[in-house]
Amino acid sequence: MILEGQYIGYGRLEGRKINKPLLFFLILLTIFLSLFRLWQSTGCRSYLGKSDLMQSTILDVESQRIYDSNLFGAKVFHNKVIAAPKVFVLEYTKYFEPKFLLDLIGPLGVFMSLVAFSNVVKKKSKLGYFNFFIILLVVLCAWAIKAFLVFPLFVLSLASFSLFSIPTILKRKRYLVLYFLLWVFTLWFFFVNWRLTSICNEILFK
Amino acid sequence: MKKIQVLLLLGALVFVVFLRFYNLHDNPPGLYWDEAAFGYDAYSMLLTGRDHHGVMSPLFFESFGDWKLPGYFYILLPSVAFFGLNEFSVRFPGALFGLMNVYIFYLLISFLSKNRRLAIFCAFMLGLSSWHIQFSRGGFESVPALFLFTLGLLLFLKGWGKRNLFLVIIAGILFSFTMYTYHAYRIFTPLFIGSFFIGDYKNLISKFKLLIVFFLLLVVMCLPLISFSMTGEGLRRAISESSFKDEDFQKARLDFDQRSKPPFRFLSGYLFNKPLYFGHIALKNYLEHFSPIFLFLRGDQIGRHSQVDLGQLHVFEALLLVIALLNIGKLGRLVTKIMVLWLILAPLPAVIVSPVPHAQRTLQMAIPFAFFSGYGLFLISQSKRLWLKLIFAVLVLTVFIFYAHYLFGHYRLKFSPDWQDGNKEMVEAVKKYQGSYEKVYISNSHNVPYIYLLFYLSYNPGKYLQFGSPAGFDKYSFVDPNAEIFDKGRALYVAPEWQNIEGTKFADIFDDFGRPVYRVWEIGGEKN
Repeated sequence: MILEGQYIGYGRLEGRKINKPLLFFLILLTIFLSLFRLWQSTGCRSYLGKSDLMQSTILDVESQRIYDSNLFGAKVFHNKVIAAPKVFVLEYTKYFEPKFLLDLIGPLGVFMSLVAFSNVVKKKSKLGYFNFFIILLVVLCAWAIKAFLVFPLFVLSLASFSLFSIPTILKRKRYLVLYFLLWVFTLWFFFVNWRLTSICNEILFK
Repeated sequence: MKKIQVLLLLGALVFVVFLRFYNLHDNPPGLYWDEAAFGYDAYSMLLTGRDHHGVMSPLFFESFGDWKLPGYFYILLPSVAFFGLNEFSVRFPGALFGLMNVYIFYLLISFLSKNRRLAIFCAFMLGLSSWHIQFSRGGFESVPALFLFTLGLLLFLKGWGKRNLFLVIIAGILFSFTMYTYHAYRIFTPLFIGSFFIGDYKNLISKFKLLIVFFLLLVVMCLPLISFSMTGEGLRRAISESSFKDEDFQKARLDFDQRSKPPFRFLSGYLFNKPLYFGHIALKNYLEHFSPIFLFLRGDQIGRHSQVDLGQLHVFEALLLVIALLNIGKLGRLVTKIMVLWLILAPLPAVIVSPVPHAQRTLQMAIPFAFFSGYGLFLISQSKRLWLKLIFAVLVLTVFIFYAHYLFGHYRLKFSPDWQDGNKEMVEAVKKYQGSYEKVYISNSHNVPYIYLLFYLSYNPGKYLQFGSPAGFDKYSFVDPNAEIFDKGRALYVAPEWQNIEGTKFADIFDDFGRPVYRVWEIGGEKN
């Protein structure tokens, strides 16, 4: 049994006694789902194309300038210096799109990540912040190189971060019930959503 | 309050008014057909007591067969009576309710947080909210509905806390009005009230009398709406835009079957079932409204609903929201509970219909976002680091200059097709050239042109009700581009811009950006 205040690596458990076997069971279930998704992604033959920052920037500038009759105004408001960061942020943020995350880590992953985020903020967990920083870094790599290795790293860092939610899930029965329901739902979702349309052009599994 | 603070507050107020009312008649460009229908029906009601379908004081307006709720039509009556039938009068109530919403929001936050300074910051953020400004500048039902809901909630919370029956009754009436004003509130209002009562279950018994009166009032007020919602007309829009269509499910299932090979194919019967599939769609639709791209970078892709190239919120609000989130524990329990509940429930009306994300159906999200952004700004204002305040002020100003450039510079050019721009010019051309013709044909390729003729000619509604219909009135006939009208004698024909006709071309009609919309021809006469 883990008692109040004991450190378990993903934050301190507060309140009632925690069932240790259940804790490990939840961690195992979560890891199983992540590994299952990772295995599915190994069937990805070709990844979605990388967008060209320079080209997108030029396109953005040109498509906006046609609405400015004043050339000076057009140059001030729409130029590469302003458009490039905008395009970069847009590309970067695509990795945090709910649709993309849902595809990647399923409904359970999204739920756990949200609870984990709230836990990390509430407890000001340094380990949690570090994990979050890793996610941001991996996304940056993913955007920059789009190598097949980045995808497993992204899923793993998200899975690892989502484990910060487990103390909260264990604390309340209704969260636990929700966890199991979402686990089944996510497994179903992964089965149905074989094609991983958010990252794969073509997938081996059919 | 210091003099400088009063001046700043007044300056902010003038700015908020400016953003909602400046050039309202011309930006957004044109007049969307729903706005034209609102306006003409209000005009018709003023002169005849009937809508343009001839129904006396309707509770639900047939409009273009989409059965609109009555709220905005009745709200428009004084505006059309006072300003006449024009773009400004149709949009004025939206802008006015948007402005009043800012003040009521200030009162609500002031009441919930007992902190006037925080309330000022929050109201300021709502005043500057691009999401809120966008809808305040058009003839949208969602803005008055949001105002009614905010006011209703303020009165309800005051009445509920003080056991004041009068306030609770007024709040109940306002809540029911929200449901008669915009479709989304038929879901949002009951859900919000229900969730509030669940959260406050400990007090329900001690306030049982109040609860019963409130509940009965709501049920009685909503009875016509409930019975209407059960009819084919009431369900038509929900069915046509539903996210849970059987054909979509069958298509997805077929796709899964075709792509899966044994041993998985046999599973499709079990894996692909409706509850799970639609559950997934609902979850996806819900989460779409929290997409950072939708919120901060690229908003609703329907041009009437956002600047499209900018997010629903200003980019700097992302920082404010993070600051607010990190300090959420310092807020009062009541205000946090109400705002979080509001934020969680706000996207639900948009979950069951497509397309998503939809900024109008979720306009109510602008309120909690303004609150949390305002809280973030409030925290920055409390900071002792002057450099932080300066940097943030520069950031806000820069973002705002860009926003103003898009709103007042690009918008009316880029999104004129979204607002059916060109129809006013078409009516002007018809007025100019129709003199010597006994018959005027107008192509309905750009949808319901009859409403624009009625609107811009301020056509006598009594005459229209007696002799007219959407197919034609007076000498005007609305025809399909393929209609055989060319051998029926000399006539004026307003054709779509792409149609080539053997006849004499009088004029090209363009929208604000210079895109061709219509061409005016003489047909059946001597060829040039």
